[in-house]
Amino acid sequence: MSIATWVWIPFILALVTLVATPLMKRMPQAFSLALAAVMLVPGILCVQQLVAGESQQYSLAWFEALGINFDLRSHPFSLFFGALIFLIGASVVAYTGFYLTPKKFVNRFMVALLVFAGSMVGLVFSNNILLMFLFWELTSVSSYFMIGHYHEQLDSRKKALQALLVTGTGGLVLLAGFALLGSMGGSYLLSELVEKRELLVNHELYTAMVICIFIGAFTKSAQFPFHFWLPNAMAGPAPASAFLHSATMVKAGLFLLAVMSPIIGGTALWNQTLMVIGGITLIISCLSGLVQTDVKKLLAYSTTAALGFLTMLLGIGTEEAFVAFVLFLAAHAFYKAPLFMIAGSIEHHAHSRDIRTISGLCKAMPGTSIAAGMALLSVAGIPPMAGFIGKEYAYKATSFYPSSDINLLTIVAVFGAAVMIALSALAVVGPLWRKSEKPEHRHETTVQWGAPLFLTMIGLAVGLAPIWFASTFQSMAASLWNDDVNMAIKLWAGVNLPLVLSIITVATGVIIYLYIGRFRPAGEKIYAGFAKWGPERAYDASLAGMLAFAKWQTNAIQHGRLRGYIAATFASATALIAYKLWFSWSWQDYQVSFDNPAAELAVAIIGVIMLLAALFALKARSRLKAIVGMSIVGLGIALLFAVFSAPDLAITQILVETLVAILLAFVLPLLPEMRRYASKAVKRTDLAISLSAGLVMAIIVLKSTSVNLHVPISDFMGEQSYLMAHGKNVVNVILVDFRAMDTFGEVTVLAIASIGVLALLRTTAKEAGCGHKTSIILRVVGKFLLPILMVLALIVFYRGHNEPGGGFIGALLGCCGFGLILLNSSDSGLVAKTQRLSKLLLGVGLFLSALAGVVGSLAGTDFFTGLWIAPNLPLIGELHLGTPLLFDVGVFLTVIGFTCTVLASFSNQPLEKEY
Amino acid sequence: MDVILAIVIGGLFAASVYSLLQRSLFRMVIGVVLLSQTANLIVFTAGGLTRGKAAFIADDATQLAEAAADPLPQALVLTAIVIGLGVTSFLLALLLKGVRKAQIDDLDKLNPL
Repeated sequence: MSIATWVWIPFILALVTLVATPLMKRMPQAFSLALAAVMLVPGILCVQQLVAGESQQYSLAWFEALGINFDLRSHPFSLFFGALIFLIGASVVAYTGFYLTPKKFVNRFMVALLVFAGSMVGLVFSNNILLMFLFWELTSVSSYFMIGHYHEQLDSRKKALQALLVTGTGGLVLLAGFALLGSMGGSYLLSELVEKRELLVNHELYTAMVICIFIGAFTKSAQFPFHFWLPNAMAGPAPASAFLHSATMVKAGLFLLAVMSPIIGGTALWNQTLMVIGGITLIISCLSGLVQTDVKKLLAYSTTAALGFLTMLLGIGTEEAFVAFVLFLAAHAFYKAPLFMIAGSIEHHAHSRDIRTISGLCKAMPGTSIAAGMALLSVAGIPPMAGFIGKEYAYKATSFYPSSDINLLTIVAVFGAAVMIALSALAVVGPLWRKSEKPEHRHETTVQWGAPLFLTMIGLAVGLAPIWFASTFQSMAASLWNDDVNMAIKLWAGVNLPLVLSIITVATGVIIYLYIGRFRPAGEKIYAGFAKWGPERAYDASLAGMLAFAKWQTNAIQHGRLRGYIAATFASATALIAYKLWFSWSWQDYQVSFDNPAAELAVAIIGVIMLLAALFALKARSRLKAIVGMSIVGLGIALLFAVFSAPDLAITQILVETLVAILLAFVLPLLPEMRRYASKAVKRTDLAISLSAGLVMAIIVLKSTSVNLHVPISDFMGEQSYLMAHGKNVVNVILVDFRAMDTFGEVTVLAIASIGVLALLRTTAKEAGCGHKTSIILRVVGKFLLPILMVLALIVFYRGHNEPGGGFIGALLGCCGFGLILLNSSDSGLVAKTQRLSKLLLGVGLFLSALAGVVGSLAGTDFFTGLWIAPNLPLIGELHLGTPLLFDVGVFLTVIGFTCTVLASFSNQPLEKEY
Repeated sequence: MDVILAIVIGGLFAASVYSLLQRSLFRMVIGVVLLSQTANLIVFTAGGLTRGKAAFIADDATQLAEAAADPLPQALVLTAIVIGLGVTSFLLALLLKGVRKAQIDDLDKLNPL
């Protein structure tokens, strides 16, 4: 079976679980057992390959350009980890089906568990460090879901978040370390980096890289000062604790440190940091653990202690130390996971986790008790359990470092090991074997005790037959040590220093277990005092600080005041453009020339009038004056259009100004007086922002006139306007033919705007009927004017293709007359009629415009391609009729519909009381 | 003449931004109208200014003269002017409805609503 298949198996099982949720819910136990059986297969294969000394490589192209591929490899140490994950994973999966019920969402938990197992497998088999990082983060995320499984409890969510944040932040730092490592070594493959140790160790960035990788590993493996999250993560269900916090996830950091040892290890920085941090973690965990009374917390602290122990061994970095590391790692995994399962069963049965109140469960759970006894023997290091060999070799490593004297390291190790025994014993001995008054009936399922017993049996097997596994463990240590390991691994090495130390350890552990109860009250006080100042406080403070900062900056940036947003937008846009202009400005590009002084003067006069009018509009205290100022600006623009060869624009502008004036005439009486609210300081900032925005805009305009990046596309339009589109007014031809699609979009916008106005200003029949004071002169004039303007509109529309005019202008012209009528009418019937008619016009107009486009499509050309026919009529002669004409009719009708809808809607607004 | 127009545009732009920054809703509407007019003028100016040569094909010609004004920016601006009318009318309708509901012309006091 390929190594890649191993990685995918748990993910596929997760998917199956997800799909088969109903089945899982109906029979969770059978389903879990089936899953466990599948998980066992790769586990056994791992062991088989490990014993046979086989290794594999696998590569799948992924981001080839970046040199990141799906590279996997196996070596003895990773096969060992793979076996751990699959074997322990299988028993945890089986156990989970019995521990959680469908009501407690066993299906969700199972999916997270399997995803986690898959990511762990991927992590240990990754050859590419970036791929490894990916799986690394995936373990953090999936463990978040497992720790926070009881999501209805606030505490559980909090602790899950804490675990995620601590390990996630560490993961980010690790990524930085990996990036450094990759760029320093010129490769992201572990198999290639191994050969570049000299280069890496002597690199100037070595220290920074190692610190980054340390932080990643220490957060994951709960080393000081990040150790606090692990005991807190006990908020999760027991299977999670058994899998994540004993055997796999927390070992990921150790795994990383171990595989990095031959690549970047062996320096003073590396060894001393690991020894010191491991030692501190060991001591702190031991001291904190002794005052606990919660079964799972006791085990959690003994786990962090063990992790510290293992880190310390890695720091020692001798041949003995690596051998001890792999032995202790194996022994620990095979007794700690069962202990967590047993703790789960105790909690399940007693509905409590307090060791002071639970007692005498051995009668109810005899199988569990046997498993617990086996595990305890291994913890204590009683031969022939695996724990015995693990500890034996650990003492060998410590006592031979740096020389063979008994040193501080050995004292710490003995103390740590003794307390670990006491902690494990405290967790299970009392609850199981202390005498209880209550008669208990047997209450346990086979899997509940079978799963932990299975694992302790593996531990026993390792201890009983070390000869079988000796070469395996040697090769594992060798893949870390990067050299041959010739040390003999056997159960009984005679009476020597390590054996004596082991006996001392067991004795001390038993003494601590027996007498700790007396010192607990005092210890708890001291512990509480220290805990207040522990690193968890820093975590809390930084979390609170981050939230406070986020709140502050949200309030500062997303304050909800529109004016603030507008000011910020204009100010920052202005500043950015000014910055850019500052570096690209050169005066030589601009020659101010006045070829035609008289004409320049005329333009200048128009400009001055416009600016004065704008100022007038700003300063005006009455709305009418403001509108007058605005209109003068608009008319000035119309004049400029006329001066600079744009008659169509000039006409359109004037007509639009007129219609806006009519609209405002409707609206003005309905609005409250406008006031000035701004204080002097606000005014000053407003003025500064608007003046600098104006200055920058002026410079941009000046620049834009001297820039000509592309050949204007309009050359083509000028050439073909008459030949292809039969029109001499090029502007109009562009609107209705060359760029008809744009125009179609624009009339659609108009239609939408008018529907919006209609909806906003809808009035009931009772409200409507306006109280305008009407002028009889205007009314009479309007009646005569309307037909004249309508005829004029048609003429302007028709001539538009060759002379100034067209659909837009014609429609606006006609509507001006209509606006005059509405302005002077108090007939609500007329308004209703107009609205009905104009809605119809909108629809018909849009339909005709679209039809003009569709005709082109139907004829086999593109949408909106002009098609022409030229019938020869008796009186008129040859007449060019084409789809652009149809399109212009559509535009004409839509604009009329739009304008009339809007005018009618505004004209019948009821007058309100004074504001 | 580019310089003169640039100054006029700068002034109008400043005036529109200033109007947009006002608390009075009606002044903001004026700001939007001014801004759309200024924008039209900017596009028009950026397209190049030509005097006395409108973009019409002469009666005896079949193609546009070389010296004629560029018709494309004019076509864009023409629709923009009409769209401006659409925007203004929609804005006025919004203003009217808003003022009716809130009975107020002060932007800052609209916030809690």
